[in-house]
Amino acid sequence: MLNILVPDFRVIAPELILVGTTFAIILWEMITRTRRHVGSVLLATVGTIIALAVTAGLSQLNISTFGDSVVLDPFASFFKMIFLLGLLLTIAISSRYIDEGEVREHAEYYALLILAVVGMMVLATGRELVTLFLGLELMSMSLYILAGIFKTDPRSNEASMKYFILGSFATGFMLFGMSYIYGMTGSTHLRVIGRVISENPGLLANKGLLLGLFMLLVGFAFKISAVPFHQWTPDVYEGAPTSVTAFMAAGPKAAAFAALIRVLMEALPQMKGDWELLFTILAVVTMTLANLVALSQDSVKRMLAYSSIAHVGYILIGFVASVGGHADRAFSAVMFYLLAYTFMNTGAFAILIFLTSRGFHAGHPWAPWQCSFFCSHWRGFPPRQVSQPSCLYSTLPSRGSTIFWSSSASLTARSPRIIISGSSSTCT
Amino acid sequence: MQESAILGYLPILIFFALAVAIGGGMVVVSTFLGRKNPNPEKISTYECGMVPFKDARQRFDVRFYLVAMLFILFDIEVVFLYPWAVLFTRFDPVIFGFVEMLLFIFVLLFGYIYVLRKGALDWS
Amino acid sequence: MENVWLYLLILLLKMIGVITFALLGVPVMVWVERKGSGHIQHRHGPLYVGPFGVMQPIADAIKLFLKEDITPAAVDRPLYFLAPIMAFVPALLTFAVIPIGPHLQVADINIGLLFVMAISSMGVYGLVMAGWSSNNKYALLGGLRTAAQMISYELILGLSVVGVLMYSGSLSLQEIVKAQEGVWLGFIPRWFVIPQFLGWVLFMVAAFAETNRLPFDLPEAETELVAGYHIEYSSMKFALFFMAEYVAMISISCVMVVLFFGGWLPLPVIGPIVESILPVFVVSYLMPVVWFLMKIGFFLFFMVWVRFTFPRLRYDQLMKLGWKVLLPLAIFNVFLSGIIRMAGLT
Repeated sequence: MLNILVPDFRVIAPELILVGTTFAIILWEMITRTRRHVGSVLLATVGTIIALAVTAGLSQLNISTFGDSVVLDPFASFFKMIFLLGLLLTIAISSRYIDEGEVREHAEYYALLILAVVGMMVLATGRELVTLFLGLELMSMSLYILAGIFKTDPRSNEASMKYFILGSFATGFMLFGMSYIYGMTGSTHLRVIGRVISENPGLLANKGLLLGLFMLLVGFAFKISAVPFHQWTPDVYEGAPTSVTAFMAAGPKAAAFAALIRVLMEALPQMKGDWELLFTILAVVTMTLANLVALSQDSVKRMLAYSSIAHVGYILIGFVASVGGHADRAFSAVMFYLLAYTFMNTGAFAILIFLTSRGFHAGHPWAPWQCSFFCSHWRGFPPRQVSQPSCLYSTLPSRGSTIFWSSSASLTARSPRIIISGSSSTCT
Repeated sequence: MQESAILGYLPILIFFALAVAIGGGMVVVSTFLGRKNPNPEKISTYECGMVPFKDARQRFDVRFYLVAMLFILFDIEVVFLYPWAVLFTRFDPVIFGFVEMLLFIFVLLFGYIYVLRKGALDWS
Repeated sequence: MENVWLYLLILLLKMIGVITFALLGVPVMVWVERKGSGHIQHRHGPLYVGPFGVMQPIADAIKLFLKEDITPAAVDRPLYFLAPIMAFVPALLTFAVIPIGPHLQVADINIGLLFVMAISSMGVYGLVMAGWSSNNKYALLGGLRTAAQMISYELILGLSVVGVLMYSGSLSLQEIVKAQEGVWLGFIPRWFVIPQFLGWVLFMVAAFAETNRLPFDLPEAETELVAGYHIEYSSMKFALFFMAEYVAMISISCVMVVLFFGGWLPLPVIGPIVESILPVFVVSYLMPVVWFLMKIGFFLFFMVWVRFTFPRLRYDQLMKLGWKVLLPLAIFNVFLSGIIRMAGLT
């Protein structure tokens, strides 16, 4: 007889609600065959709010199920809430925009948005490499299609195709890294990998494991668009519909960061020495290059894309700082940063959508003010400035050199950014 | 005679070699037997007696790709059904296995109806 | 060591037996097809070569061997030469796991049915390669049609056997045959065709489409595509496609008999009577093969019969039938079999 363990469905309750919502949206569209967006928008909003409520209700739990491959802890809950808030904001800004863009597949549009969020949530909750990969793929596949949802716009198509090809390539790298880690440690479960490595210190010098870590980080670096792997970002952000760009700039990055934090902290904390160096380089290069290149952009969307790349650099400092012994403080700073970033970024794109359809002059008197409010994020307006440097400097004595380098780079790199946001504010 | 699972496939490997030998042999033998007397007309592409125009490798209907993609999707679902069906009587209770698969088939059916409504299966 | 050699010797003998069975089936089927079609259409069919024209297929084979082997100038040569082999080998390879008798089987692997499904679906590569490499518009169209048709109906083929698996509890073809032993009410055999009637009908229809037989022979469709994917082939390379089709017919009939008609198990009513008067040796070694041959013989004749009775479908009708009628029916069959099986268990 087969022994069947009934899983604890509370762990994936919000995901199940969202999947159910996508079914409902598509079914509604199939039954009514309507070209109006109201039904889809309404269903999507209601589903997201319910999922948000459930997530909030379960946020104090710390449980896992499906053979410990998915876990619900406050960390996961926090990220889930970020994603759901981001989804709500995206739904709010897209209904009009997508309608004007003559998108007939509105049910698919909202369903894919939600499915991408489900993928992100799996990324935040997965505690096992294959589960993480599953979430990553669900997220990425949905985004590939969303980038090309303006089917008659060649630039949208180009963005979709570029994103798909480069994304699949990065996925290949990541999978390759995962298989190496699995091969060297004999498990895909993060905790078990961590235990195996700590029990066999000889593994740390193993070239295969190092290669696995490196490949894995290359894959993640692509997904978060850190600098040597960022080239797709401006093109895709520019070509994709603006609402999708707003969505892509926030949620998926946060999800990739969530998975990255979990992998590093649960599976590879012993390899700190290796990934600290990698992250230092990535952070410095990302901040510097992205901000400099952003200066010379003449498309607002491209500039915003480079801005989002620069943000990744700032966030990566948190990873470098985590090595110093205050990992919890470093990562809570990262998490807070991501939350603030989600709001400010979506806001900036919302203004962009508003301005492209109305223009500055005829528009709302508040628009320029809102614009400068969201742009102030680039200057470091939200309180992350309070949280992050304090955690950085608290670790300074122990991890002197790398932290110094990366944080001073962050300060210098921010200066051109201040110029841009200043000039854009004066424009208004 | 089967010591291990792999050894059980040895006959299949030998059988495969024999099949390739027979098939390949026929192709090789027929190139030696029979006359060879080609001329430009004989070896030109057949097009019902017309002079062939353009290359045959042009774009063709996208629906063939669509069918191929749908096939991959549904065929994978079918492969998932096999182990379930083999173990069907061994679920405890049986109704559990049945309901689990009903959920799976429901998702499959949902996708099928979606494809149907989108007109991906219309050929006329 | 002696055991190993003995094992290999027996294996080789079995292989030769099975291959002979498969390949000899081809000329027999050709003759049956031509003679049968003749009589269905009030003609005589082949008459002159041998008694009742039985030597006709042999004469055809010799003729094909000696024909000029034309390689058109525009073809993609490696693929063009590989295609007939790619079509023929999978068709023959399925015989490796088909149990012709309780002992006459090359390899009894525990995933036999999966093997058959996997290998027989490889045949489509040969046909598509032929269509593509020929660089001919008819061939390309024929090849594409073949691919779309075969993969569409492969789904149905795959789904239709799920019900059988629920009853057999095994993927091994030998086990599936053994699961059908015994009778209900004293004379009704416990063949899976009875509880799985819908499954059998679906399998049957899909089998016709998989072997590109009329009413589903659109890949060839003489009247519109001239000959489809093998238009540019001549001599023995053409013959290989021809043989591949017939071998595939025989193998799919064998699979059908194994899955739904009790494989090498004796026929009901007459079976026990015949076996009671024959010596034990014959009953245990020869009769299973005879029963098996009788069963597949019937289905092979049925295929010929259908070919000369039904008109060909149009392509859109074919796809519509496959995706919009048979596929939902096949899924329904899985559902239905599950319920019936559950009711049978409790």
